[in-house]
Amino acid sequence: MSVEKRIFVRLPEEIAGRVIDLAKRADAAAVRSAKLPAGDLTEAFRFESLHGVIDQLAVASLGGGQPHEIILHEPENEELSGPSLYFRDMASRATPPTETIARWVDEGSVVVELQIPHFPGTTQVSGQPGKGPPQPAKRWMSSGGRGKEAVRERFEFLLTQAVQGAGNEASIRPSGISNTVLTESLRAYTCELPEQPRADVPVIYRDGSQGRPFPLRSLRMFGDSPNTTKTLKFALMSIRHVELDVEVDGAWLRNTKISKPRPAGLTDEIVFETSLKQLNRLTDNGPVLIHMYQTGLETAIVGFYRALVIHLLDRPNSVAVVPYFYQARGAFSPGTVWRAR
Amino acid sequence: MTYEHICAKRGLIAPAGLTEFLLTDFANRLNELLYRPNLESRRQALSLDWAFDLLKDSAITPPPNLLPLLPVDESSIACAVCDEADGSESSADVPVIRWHLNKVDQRFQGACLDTSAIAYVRSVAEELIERDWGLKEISRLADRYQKEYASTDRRPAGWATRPVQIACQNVIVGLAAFAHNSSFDGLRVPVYLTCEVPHLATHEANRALSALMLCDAFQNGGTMEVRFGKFGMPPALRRFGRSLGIALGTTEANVLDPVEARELFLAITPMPSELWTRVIAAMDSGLISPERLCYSLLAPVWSTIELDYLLATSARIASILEGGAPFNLRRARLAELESARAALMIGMLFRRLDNKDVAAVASGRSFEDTRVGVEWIIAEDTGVVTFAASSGGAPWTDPQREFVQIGASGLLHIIPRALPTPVDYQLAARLQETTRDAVALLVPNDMREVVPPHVPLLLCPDRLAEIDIAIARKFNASLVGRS
Repeated sequence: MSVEKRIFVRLPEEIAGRVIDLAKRADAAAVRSAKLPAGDLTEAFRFESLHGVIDQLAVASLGGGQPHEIILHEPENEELSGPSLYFRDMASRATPPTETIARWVDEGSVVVELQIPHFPGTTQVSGQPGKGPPQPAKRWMSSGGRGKEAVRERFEFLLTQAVQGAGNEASIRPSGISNTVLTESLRAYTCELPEQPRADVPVIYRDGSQGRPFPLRSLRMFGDSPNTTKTLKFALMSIRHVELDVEVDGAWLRNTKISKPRPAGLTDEIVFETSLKQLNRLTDNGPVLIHMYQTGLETAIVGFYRALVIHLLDRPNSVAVVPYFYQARGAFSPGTVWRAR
Repeated sequence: MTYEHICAKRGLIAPAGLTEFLLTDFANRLNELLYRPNLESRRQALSLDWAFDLLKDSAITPPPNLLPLLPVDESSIACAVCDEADGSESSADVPVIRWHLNKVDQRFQGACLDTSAIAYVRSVAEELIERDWGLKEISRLADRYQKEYASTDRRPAGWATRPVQIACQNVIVGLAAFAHNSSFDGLRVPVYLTCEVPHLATHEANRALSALMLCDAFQNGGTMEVRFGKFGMPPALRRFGRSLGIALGTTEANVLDPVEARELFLAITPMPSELWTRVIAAMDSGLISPERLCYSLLAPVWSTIELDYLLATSARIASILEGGAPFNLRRARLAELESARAALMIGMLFRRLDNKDVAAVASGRSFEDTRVGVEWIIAEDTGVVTFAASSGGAPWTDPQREFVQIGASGLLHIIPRALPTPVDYQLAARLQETTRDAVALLVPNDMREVVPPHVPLLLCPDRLAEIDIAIARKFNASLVGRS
């Protein structure tokens, strides 16, 4: 394996201004990226392409005989965010690693850092030799149920392990779980139980991405619908069931914003943040009963109900949700109400 | 006459149990296929004597200890490899090979079909019993899929039963249906059918279909368990497993359990021996799961040479295969990008070297497989890739520099760098001094001006930004591949 080293290139004055400008634009792109919805990589790509030009200019300077210094790679520097260069206005971000580089910066030069993995030599292999790959997954055998019942049995087994904090299985794995089973099982395990403390259980999707922990065993739930005058009907996602458009007051989430190829944990996060905001706004003027007509997108269901639980923990009795599940031929059937007092 | 008599006449020991097999219901199913010892006339197409004559007339002379069992297809025969008679007991564990009657590349002649003659003939009979039902079922599933998804342009979810078909040169060699099932968090495969055809290597249909099946199981998440339809584990797949030395269906007859799935996934993913060694080391260090690695190669997120390069030269392989470091941690990101850029450029160059362009010699451009079998070696401590190609001019030579000419040795040493440094120029000079082979630095198209004129150069057709876009796609494919 070749060796990773850090090259610090002192740029010639004639391109320093241009590079500072590129670095500022890259920095601004990074700041804008943090404000974008999770998974939107537009500004990330902008940052990368701007930095790509900085790197090319640094390499050209290096080839042109500009002063440079090479030091070994230090893993602790990896957490430094933003453009990897040093000049006086940006010096506070990272301390120059050597006296020479500090002197160059003091003299007003711009120094670009390149972490290059191709220096000749033998590096230590990463990982732990002898550790071995992760064990193959264990098989799941249902107690005899088939179809939806078998799915429910497996999911509730995982939820039981999760609230008990049993080993690696202490997580909610909603991928592939049907709409009804996911919603109803989550509701059942969100109910407070006398013997069991609240458990904030990580949510892990099958692509390996994670959502925020889901607060299980956290709410005193009631099965009856509240007597409220304000009832609103929502489709959980727009476009998915257009026949509902005449029935509902609106769509809770916009399909175009949610259904994008990205890690599931990020979609969950977008749904969670959107739902939390909307729940707060909706309940500002008194309690609301929501009839939620659901589609089977797991990230939308988990994100929405996590937001609901967090909202109810803060403002109990402000909202109740009756889930409606899609059945064959366009019909919807109601599920158990989510209500806490 | 029995198999024993016929084998004894030829100084061979017949596989144990073969004569008894003729009395079973399975043998009845093979009525039109099995070469029988009790048909004496050489003119009868199913007599053993007739089959021996076929073998004798084959383009490549077969070894004398082959006992023809049944035809594999119209131009090859399944033969038991019998022991010579030396007084020892007969055994059922007599391997079965496929003997091609026409001229084929020596590599493909005599490939293992099964490890036991009895298991082979029985599994072929079982396969034929299942086939009629399987063909009707796949047709039914395909009609339903057409109606529910294809005709309405709907994208099926992982749990939908999706028919798949593998064809090679317009010949269908594999049919199956896949559906993720959350009740056991694995893949349900109601139908799995394959066949051998003259123009494909032995078990290639099984290799391709099981690769598709395991990639689907990985993509849909879950435990990697595969449960088969009403006939249980497909006989062809079990036979394929035996030929690879992997027992399948050991925990339950109709189940490929996660341990077996892992073993099969690794066995069917093509890897050169050097890559295999690196893969073993990476798995031993706990860096990557075998399933992710096989999926990355078969999907293919990374091609074989790209992955080999990354494993050989980057300490960051785990992060790269999981989608890369966050963009704003520029230092880590650049180190990963540089490795990935080099791997990508090397992959492009390899495909260029390995493909004979037939446009110049044919009346039209052919898109058939035109690979010429270029091999490579990667020097881990320098990140230099040496290709064994044919002599002549190297592709992608910079017209403003000296032409890079591959000499009689056919060796071409490439230093792939997206951001080349003086260290790389020195490395190129050293290689030029120490070898008589062609040496070149390989850089993105927009890095030409950066490299001093004395350094031999190959220019990748893509610019740095284009290479980065391709890498971003690969990183994203790694992130969302399993969803």
